[in-house]
Amino acid sequence: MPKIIIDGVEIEAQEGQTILQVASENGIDIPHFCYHPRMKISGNCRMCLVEIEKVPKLQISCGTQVRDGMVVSTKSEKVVKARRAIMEFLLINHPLDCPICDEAGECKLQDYCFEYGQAESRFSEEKHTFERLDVGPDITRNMNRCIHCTRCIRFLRDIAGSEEAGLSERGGHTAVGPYLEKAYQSPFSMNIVDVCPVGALTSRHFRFKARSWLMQKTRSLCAGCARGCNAYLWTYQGRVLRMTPAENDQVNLCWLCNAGRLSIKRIQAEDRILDPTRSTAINEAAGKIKVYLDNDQGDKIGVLISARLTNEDNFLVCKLAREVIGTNWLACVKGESDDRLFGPLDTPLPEWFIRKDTNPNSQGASDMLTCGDHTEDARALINAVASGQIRVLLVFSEDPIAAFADDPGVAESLENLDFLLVSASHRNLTSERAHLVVPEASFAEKDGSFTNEAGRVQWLSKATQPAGQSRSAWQTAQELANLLGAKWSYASAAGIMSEIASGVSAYEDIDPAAIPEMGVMKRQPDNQDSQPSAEGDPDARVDPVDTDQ
Amino acid sequence: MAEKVLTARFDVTDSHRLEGYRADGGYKALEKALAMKPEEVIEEVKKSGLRGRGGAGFPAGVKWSFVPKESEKPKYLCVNADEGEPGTFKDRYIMELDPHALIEGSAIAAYAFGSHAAYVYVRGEFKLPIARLEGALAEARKAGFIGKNIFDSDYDFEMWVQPGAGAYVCGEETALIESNEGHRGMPRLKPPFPAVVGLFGGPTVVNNVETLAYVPHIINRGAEWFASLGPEKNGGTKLFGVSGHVTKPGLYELPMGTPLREIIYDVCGGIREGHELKAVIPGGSSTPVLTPDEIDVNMDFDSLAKIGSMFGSGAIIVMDETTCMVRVIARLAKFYAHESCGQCTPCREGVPWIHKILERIEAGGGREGDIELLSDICDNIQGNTICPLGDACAMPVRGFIAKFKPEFEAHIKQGKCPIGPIPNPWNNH
Repeated sequence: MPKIIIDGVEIEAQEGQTILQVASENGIDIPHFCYHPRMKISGNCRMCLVEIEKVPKLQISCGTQVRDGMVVSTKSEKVVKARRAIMEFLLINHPLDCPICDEAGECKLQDYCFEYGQAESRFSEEKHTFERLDVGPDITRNMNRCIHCTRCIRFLRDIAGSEEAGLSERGGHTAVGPYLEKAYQSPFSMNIVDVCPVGALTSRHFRFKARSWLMQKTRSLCAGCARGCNAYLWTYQGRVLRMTPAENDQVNLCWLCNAGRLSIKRIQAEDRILDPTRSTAINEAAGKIKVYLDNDQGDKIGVLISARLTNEDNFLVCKLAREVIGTNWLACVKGESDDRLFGPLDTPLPEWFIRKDTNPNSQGASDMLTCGDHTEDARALINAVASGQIRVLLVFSEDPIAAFADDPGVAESLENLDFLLVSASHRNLTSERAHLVVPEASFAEKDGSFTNEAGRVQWLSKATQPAGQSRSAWQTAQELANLLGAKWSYASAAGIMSEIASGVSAYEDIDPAAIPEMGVMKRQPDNQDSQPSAEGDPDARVDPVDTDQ
Repeated sequence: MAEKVLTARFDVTDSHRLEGYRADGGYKALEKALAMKPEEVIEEVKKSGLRGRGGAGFPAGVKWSFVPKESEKPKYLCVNADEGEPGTFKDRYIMELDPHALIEGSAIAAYAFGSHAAYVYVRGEFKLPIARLEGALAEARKAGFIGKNIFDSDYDFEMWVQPGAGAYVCGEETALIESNEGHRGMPRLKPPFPAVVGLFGGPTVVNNVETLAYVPHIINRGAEWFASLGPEKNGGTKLFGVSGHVTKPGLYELPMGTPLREIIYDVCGGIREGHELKAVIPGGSSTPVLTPDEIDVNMDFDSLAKIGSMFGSGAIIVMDETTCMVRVIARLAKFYAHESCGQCTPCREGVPWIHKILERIEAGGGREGDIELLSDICDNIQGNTICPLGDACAMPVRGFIAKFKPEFEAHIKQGKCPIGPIPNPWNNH
């Protein structure tokens, strides 16, 4: 293995590593713009120039592989002068409009300017300027701020697999943008907003909403599909303003799809249910149920759980049905099955990155259901409603009318129910017909776990307070149970997870107190033990490096 | 006058046709080379001292020897016929007047390093050279000088013409390769060097037209003969394109090492009447300018390097005392600012900045400190870019400032150009 010396420190490096990689692994910061650990090297920004002994010219550390005995300086006079020069060059035509730029606070140009720039500009000529162009409904391009690092081009071409961006014109007039269309077509295009090291590409959905340093950042999950992409939720004054990818090599690398990012718009949409039908709704519901239980007719009560709920929500709702109500009419509507590969994830991002199953927790819901008595098929449960076998239906976060849209009879049969309780975050076809509705917290407003399509259990973290009087489904279930005579005292989702770990076999290995950021695989059935997981060999991947730009 | 090599056939009627080329001994060198081992061909060219005529002056035989013998991917020869360096006009005449010399030279070169395919990347504006080259290729193909099993040697060779779309930077070898592949013409990072990873990922040699056109002569007449034409390590003759204020501008073939004074005063008839020499750019616009007291220099790679300039492409631009040095370098900087590919920071931002400052000084807006600022910008560009285009602007800017600093200072002090506007040539009549 090659040994090299960086700034006087001897470091053992791996064969094939670049100077920049070795430096960053060893805590030596080499400033850079165009280099991104997930992208091909382009070497155009020249910010990472370093001096190598016996090499006459400065070399780009991002593109220079280490050789045994190499002596590198990242702080020599020559390097410092070159770095200052690059900063000056990048800033002479830059508008310096940080006060109105969304990127401020998370801008590499701004950060490095403080570190390596000069207080006064020597540039007294006219700056060259460009017209602003909205590259589609999601992204605004401001070429004046662009530093031509080509990260967006390389992301779209090499990672999104979408050859639609490039350079046009030459010299100082060089522009970065879409070739033909006015909008980027890739379903992953908004990642270019994240990889853009400056404010040249900003999100049209987030622009001017909040300064980055005033927001809170919570590591959580996207609930848009069964992949379970890791994401940061950024909140300001209680509102989720944007979602950005969090790194997870096993799930989403460091990317998100546009649809997932924009799913946060639903959190506080107009059709959000904020309050129960009446303040006494839960008590009334408990009263209705109690009548049946008193007559030993618990089996006339049906319960629907949902693949959109957390494992903790579903576990407790199931427990309510099984232990308090005592019914076998317990089911979950299945999401669309997907026979496409789940992994291993490679670039360019495959068409199967976005899953057909738009529920974040189909696996988990099925696990909570199948660990005890249940109805095989949600359809059978609905049929029982139609035939009058079920007189009371409790629906948690599900919309059976929409789920069985091919059958107009579903809506009609729900009319026959003696009592329909719906717990939902947003108004839907079923909630419109419910006798009572209680508001439910959205994915951004609660803790809990989702099990993704590959069986990875990942933790969802509460980024903001639940809107209105909404709360997690497990809280509603617990209140109902206690009103019906149970004495539950679950205080948190984590507490419920402990019970899941001791009660549901696939989750036995999970330490609820220590679910890692990357999630943990639930135990696969014995006959699959020798099979590689659906995600492929986790060791075959590169260790994550700072990909936060 | 000295021996003519490349231009010997230029005055022949229909010099571009195969018939005449054959009558003058054409394609004999290819036949001879194919009977040699490839290594022997490389060795012969190495011994001849043939150095790249595109500007950098790298020994051609050595360049060929860098190509790995074994390669999974095909090897390619790229003929650099982009001829973009301002002041240069030599390759076009080879392609117009003796295209078969280029084809024969290319075939020999390709044979020497084990390639079977060559692309001629021609500047798009060169309509006649392109047509002549296409015609010559058709003739050579028909006669079996390119194609399969040439001279029953088992050696196959094919050659195509690829017109460029007009960018100076495409004369840089990796940008040429990118453009030849159909991409935007932008230089690649090196390493890997083209000899290892070049056109379509295969090992590639990029040679200038003039360089290759010498190869048949070297094979025919021997390395010693060629080396003896010029001084040590600078073998052969050279095409000099002389332009500017001389009485007989034009293209001249002269031995390497001919003194610049002799070229200006004897070959080109001296400075136009009533005027005196003020400055000479010796090798194309990116080479540092020379003053009248420096013109005793011998025109070869090493002699010019010794006095801090460059031999470049042999494009000599002569200027008399009516020429404003600030205006000249401002115009050149404009060219480089326009031609910067825009890829890397120092060139994209620095070169247009230089241009703007120079234009301002010429227009009378110069300020104290501008000259130092220009030098510092040049310093910050040079050596920090992906390709030499940034250097190609910085070097002449430094040169003009070093050699004609008082003229820059006069502009700044007087707040105008002391030489005044460009005289209208029509007023003289």
